[in-house]
Amino acid sequence: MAWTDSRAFAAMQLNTLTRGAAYDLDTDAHKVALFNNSVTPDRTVALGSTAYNTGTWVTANEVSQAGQWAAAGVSLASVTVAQASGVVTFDAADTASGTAATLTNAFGALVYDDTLTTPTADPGISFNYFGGAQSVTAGQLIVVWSANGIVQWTT
Amino acid sequence: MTIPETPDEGDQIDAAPAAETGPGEAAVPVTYAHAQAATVAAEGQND
Repeated sequence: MAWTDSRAFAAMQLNTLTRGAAYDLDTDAHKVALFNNSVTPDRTVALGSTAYNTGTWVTANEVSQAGQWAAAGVSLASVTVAQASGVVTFDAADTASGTAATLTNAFGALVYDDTLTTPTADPGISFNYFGGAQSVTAGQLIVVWSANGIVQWTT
Repeated sequence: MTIPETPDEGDQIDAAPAAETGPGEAAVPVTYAHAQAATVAAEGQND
């Protein structure tokens, strides 16, 4: 299949609500891994299939370059989780590669928790679509997070 | 008349200064990948 949209994983929300996994979005370390269009993003999969290098998010589908946008991803920086007028937003600073990157056909990113190890290591938080293929040759790729953040919950 | 000085063997000859990149000159290409937010709307509240 292919990318069509951006979604938070249902398993992330279920396991947060039921204490099945100790996600701590504002203090855990998170990473952003790039993926091509061979993935089949699915918000309904079990927690174990949301994680980096599991399910559709295997390294065979990853877009990376050592020293630029390394395999397993680039760290999210300046993470915030805030609520305003009943809207909860998980956000971070834009995420950039090195300045000598050659990255081809990145269609979207897996955002995952790099701190958690149980019940699944590196469980996913969300997958975020770029709206199409993004490439750079000997330059810099900057993932610009939406004005609505990485994930936004409207209550 | 001034006779141009020819450096003797072993004299140090300063290398030309390296080119500097000034403002407005070409930088590395940048691709901005605009990520769409994953939005979750809670429905089914009390009507």
